[in-house]
Amino acid sequence: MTRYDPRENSETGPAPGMDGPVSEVLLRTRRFLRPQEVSEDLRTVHRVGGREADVFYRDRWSHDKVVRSTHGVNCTGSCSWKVYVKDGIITWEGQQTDYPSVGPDSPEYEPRGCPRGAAFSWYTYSPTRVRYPYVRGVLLEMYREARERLGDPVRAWADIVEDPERAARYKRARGKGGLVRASWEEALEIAAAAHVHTIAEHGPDRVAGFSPIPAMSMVSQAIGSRFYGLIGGSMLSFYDFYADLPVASPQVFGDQTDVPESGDWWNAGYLIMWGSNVPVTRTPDAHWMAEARYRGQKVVVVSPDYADNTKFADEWLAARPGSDGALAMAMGHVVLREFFVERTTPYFDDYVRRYTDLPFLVRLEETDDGHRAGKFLTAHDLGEEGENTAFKTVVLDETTGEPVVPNGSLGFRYGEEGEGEWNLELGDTTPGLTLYEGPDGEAVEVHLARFDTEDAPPSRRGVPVRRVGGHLVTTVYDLLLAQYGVGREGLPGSWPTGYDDPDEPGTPAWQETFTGVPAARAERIGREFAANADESKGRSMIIMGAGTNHWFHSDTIYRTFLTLTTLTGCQGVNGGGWAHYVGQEKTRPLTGYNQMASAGDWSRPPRQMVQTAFWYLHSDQYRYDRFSADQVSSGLGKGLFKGMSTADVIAQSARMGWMPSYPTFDRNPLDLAEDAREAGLPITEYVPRELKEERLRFACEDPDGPKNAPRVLTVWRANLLGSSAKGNEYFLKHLLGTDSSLRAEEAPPGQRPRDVVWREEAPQGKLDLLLSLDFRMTSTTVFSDVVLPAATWYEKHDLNSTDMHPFVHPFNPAISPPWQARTDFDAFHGLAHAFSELAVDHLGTRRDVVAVPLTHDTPDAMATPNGTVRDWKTGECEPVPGVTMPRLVEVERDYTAIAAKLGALGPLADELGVTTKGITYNVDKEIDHLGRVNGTVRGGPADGRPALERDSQMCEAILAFSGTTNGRLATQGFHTLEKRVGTELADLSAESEGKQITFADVRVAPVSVLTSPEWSGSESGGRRYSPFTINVERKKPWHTLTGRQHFFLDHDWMTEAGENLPVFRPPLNMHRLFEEPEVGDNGELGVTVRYLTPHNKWSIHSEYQDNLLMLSLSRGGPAIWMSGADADRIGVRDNEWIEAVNRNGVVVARAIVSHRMPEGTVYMHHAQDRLIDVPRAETSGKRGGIHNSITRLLVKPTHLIGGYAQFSYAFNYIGPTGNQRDEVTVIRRRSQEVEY
Amino acid sequence: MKLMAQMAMVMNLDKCIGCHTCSVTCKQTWTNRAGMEYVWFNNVETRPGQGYPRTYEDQDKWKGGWVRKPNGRLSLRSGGRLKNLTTIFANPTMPGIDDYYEPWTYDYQTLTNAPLQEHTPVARPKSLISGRDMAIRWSANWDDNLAGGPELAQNDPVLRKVSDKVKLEFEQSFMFYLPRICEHCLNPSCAAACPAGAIYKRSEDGIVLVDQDTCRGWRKCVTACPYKKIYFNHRTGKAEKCTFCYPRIEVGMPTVCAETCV
Repeated sequence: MTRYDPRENSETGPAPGMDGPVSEVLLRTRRFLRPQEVSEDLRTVHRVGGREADVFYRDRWSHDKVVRSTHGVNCTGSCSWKVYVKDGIITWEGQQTDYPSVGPDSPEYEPRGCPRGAAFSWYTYSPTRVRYPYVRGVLLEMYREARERLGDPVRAWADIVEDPERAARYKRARGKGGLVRASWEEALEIAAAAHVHTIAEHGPDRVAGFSPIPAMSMVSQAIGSRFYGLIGGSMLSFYDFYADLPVASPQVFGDQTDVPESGDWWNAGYLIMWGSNVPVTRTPDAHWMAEARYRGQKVVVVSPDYADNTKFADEWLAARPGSDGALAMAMGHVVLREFFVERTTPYFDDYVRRYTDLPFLVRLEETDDGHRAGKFLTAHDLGEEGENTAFKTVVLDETTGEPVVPNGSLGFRYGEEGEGEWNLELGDTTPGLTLYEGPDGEAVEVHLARFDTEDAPPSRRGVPVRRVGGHLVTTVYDLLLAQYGVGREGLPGSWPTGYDDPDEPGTPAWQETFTGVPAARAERIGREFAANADESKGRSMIIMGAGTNHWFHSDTIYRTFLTLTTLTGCQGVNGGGWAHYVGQEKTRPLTGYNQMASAGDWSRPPRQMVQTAFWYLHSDQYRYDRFSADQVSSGLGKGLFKGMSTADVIAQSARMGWMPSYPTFDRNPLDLAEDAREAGLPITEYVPRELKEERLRFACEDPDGPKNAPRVLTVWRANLLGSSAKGNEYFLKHLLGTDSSLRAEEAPPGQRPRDVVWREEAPQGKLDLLLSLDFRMTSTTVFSDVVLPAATWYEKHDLNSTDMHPFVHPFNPAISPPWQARTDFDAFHGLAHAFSELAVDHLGTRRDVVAVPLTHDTPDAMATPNGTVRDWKTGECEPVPGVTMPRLVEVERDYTAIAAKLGALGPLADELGVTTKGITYNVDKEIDHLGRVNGTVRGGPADGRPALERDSQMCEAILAFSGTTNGRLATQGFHTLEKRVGTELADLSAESEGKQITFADVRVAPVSVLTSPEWSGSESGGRRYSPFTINVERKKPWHTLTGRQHFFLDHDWMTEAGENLPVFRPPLNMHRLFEEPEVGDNGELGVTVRYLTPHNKWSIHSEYQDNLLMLSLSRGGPAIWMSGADADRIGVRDNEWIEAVNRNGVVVARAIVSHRMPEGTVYMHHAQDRLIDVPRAETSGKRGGIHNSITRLLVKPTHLIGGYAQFSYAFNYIGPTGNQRDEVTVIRRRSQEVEY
Repeated sequence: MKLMAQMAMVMNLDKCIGCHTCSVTCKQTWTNRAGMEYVWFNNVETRPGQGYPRTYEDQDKWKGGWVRKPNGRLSLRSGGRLKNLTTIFANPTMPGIDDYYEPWTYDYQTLTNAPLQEHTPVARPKSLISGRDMAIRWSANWDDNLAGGPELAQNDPVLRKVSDKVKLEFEQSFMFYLPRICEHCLNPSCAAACPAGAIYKRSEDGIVLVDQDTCRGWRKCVTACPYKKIYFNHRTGKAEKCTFCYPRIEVGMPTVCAETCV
């Protein structure tokens, strides 16, 4: 290319100069008019000075200080920010760039952030800021009048709430404006009076607190949780309720969730993003994926729409919503066929024998016309003597052909005999993977559940068998091959003819009919995934998220994914395995946080409730279920759910001690303790006796009984009613007693619960007090009775951590809380003081009966041999606390000392230590240290105890009591674990034994955490975190029945559901269950579509969706994405108003029409509140609703399993998910004239 | 030319995730003030898409940048000096507020202050130009992530030229993100068009700035810029633009957008 050069002569181009002679003359003249230099070619004028006006931008940039803080929002970002302050005013924020280096040969973590976080400072002075305490005027007037008349806050509260007319009046006003300012003193007095009255009259378990995701601001969460721990209130779970908890994780790993940090994506050679839109939901981490491609990583996206991450993908598989399990099964089919059956892949072969349950023996049970998989064969079945033999599983030694009980199963975890043997060492044993001996070997046909088409008969496929100790057995591996349709010569039954067989479950051609993904591509991606894992020794990774985890049957979807990562030896390997990112947010300093939040230093145990079951019952959604719980059954089981409703199953799980249940009994637990004392019996005898004689019942057996409802709910750091309340309209109607757009009808007689009491009149307005703490107005504050103004994230001290990176870093106040805002820490201290004062006259010291579910990581996990269900209610066994029903613990509560205890570390930490995941830490030195750093309390009930009176002091305590931030404890914990495991572990933290990370340290810069037994991966030597590396490298068992990763689950209810093995279950059929129109129907009312609520580009849940900057960059209000084809069907154009209507309610939004959407599916991004530009709905005449106005809770019975190995309960570890993704809706164009 | 250095920014369009963090940190730092509500010194566009302001790349319509005349010399597309002078009081070749977007806010305070009423309080959109209720119809990022689909994207002036290659259909979808700041051109047409001589290019780093004292608000620069990266502050009546964060650059810090890019 020739370059134009103006200096060239006229023969090759024009001479230097301007437009023409006239211009040139004018320009030359200019030289004489102004003191400036004009260039020879007249093209530039050069001036000196004259920049005085630049001062405007310099002034704008200038600031007085920069303060490090972060955002306590539920996003896993955990980004450290610089907050700029000028003249005492927060001006803006930018990202910190001082994270510890990842080291050479890798990108770095800094700067971390996203547009939402960058917009946060807008809230500080915005008109949506809650500046003062507010109480609804109707209630405040009543309260003032009663207070004046009766002279006592508690009696005043009782006077109002026990009067049905007045109570209904203020409850009906909820959510309809009319908030008036109150003083802090008065607002706290009302709240405290409500707490005191409820505890005295109904019981402490009728008081509930909800504040999710501690990792995002540990102290702010812990302070309220600690308050509820002290008074005996119920803290509600969140991970399961949000449907972020992948139930497959406890099922397969015996672990809540443990995942790689994003820096470990860099180490993957093959990356599938499956239902996880990384640029949107992991914005600060997405660069690792973008950059790893430059290193040669192959990126595959599976998503029903052209999601943002598809832009980065080498391949996009547009699987239909909810069909992912079929695709993963087909890929697994290819892996099993090509890498296991047709040839042995040494790396995979060795891995699955050591680290999975594939070689373990399973008994086959005879049925009417064949066999089905039964229970794991145990040492007990072989007649072995000794401890815990029913929990020691068996393999066949390939060399000797003899049964062997290898180390590491649950039976070795407890008791003296197992000491030093709870490990994955195999010694001389080579566990045999299969019993297949060739075409002539013995084999039987087993029935295998299938759900791919309704009413399809079960598959019948053969497995090789042997008799061991009189039992007909096969291996998990042989069962898995049958389940995946991978045949071997000579085995009986019905097998696919090849990959191209569309009729037999498991093949690539079969999956195509459900997913729409071409068979050849499924086959090739499956093969590539495994080939890469083989070559790289486990560096194939699947990033999975809400898109595949929010379904009713997501546990089955995830098990098909984990089959891929486990068969290929990717779990416990850097750069490989599952990477589940939705919710979670790892509280890295876990032990210290747990101690603070549970108040376990003063009293144990706390009440911790599964929130999904709580709301399913208490927002009365159970009344609208018309189907039996056995809709989940495969037809191959014994009919365990026959005739039962889901509520019946919840009640059964509660009374058997599987899941927690609060409120627990139909009696105040304080009275129950009194009654036992009067009867002269310990509660462990009195309560079972009363239950058996039916003088006492579980509250969940009569959820609408007036005594059995929760009465007081406090929400902080959360937006229940504008975000997470699935079945929002049910909440408004039944819980709050105000207007709703609920359109469903209750179940008619004959379709109602069998065991659970049905009250003819459904209660409305169960809750007496909804108290919220927030810094912005949300649906939760708008519907609250009392609203307290909270400090923002730039106005307090706190701690933050995540699963996405290995650093702990702080919140710091850039300014003091303005107006009358207070930190959550101070607000709960204020509430505790008001409460303790009122308790002097109304409560005093009481004894409380706490019912505790059978708990994970304790010997409770051995309560149910073989996972065989025994219900005392039906006489199958006796009610024995801690075995066949909840453990019962009597706790003394001095209600006048709550405030004093809240602000000091209690003596139980000294006496009992602190326990995480079965390891107890002695924290004597840390308590001493804390007393000297924080100072000790003088006088009162906490005299001499280390102070926790300020938020920064609690930060210090959390860091001091955790292995991840205190090397002494990490090493101590590993030594404790070594005794049980018998392999070397303490060297993992030896490098940091003397290191204690303090709050001052993290205020300087983010600090990397230490390797600790609180988690399953090693970070020693600056290594990137990947889960289960300690299990794999140090032979430490997983916390499961076999101690290995489980493909097979033998609990009775898993058999009932047909989910012993990974299986494809399509989305629920809402037409069959609820008579909604079928997807694709297009009638007068509109078009019926799948209704998905994926995470939002412009918000983190409901946070930021009201932020003006985010609204300016998006469509400025609620929006629903739909395809052009669906839009055409209802005649709607982009940005026109539409309504989504189903039985659950209605939501109004504007349409976004785009070709990135597949036909038949719409997205209303989570979580769009009703407060911004939402007109009234034509359908209801009421305010248009939120994204969850047309969803509801549906409880999967198998999520309620407890008391058995990895199925035992722990808070947020396992529990029914609040899934919402199977929902369908009618979309219609509405009048474009909208009214507000 | 006495230019001693030229600051420039390279944006990796392959890595860009379209998150708009750069836009927000820039806006928060520089333009969240009266008269500038509609202004994004840094914006990010989805392509195919119309861009901000709409169709700004259609120079047949907007007349931005230079043209090379047959004699090899450059002239502003918007016209030479004479034309510039004669149209100084009437220059219609300029995006209107509807081409950018009518900025808005909401009456958020009603969520707290609403009296007891029949329905749940709601914050309605209010124009930041007129203060009145408004319906939201366009923004600086309206067609983000292919929102609006073929109906909107077909107006992308670049797409028109390559429409045989880029399909607006599911499973054939294509998009990328285009973050944009002022280019701080070597030969800035905005400076050439300024009748007041208010736009200058700094010799030490090449940053192009508008002298806020000298600017008379003629807005010739708005027309002349081919990227429409000069904006009119309707409160002060002056033109403003990306400053390449010179108060930061001068002390060795990167620009806000560059530092905050995740």
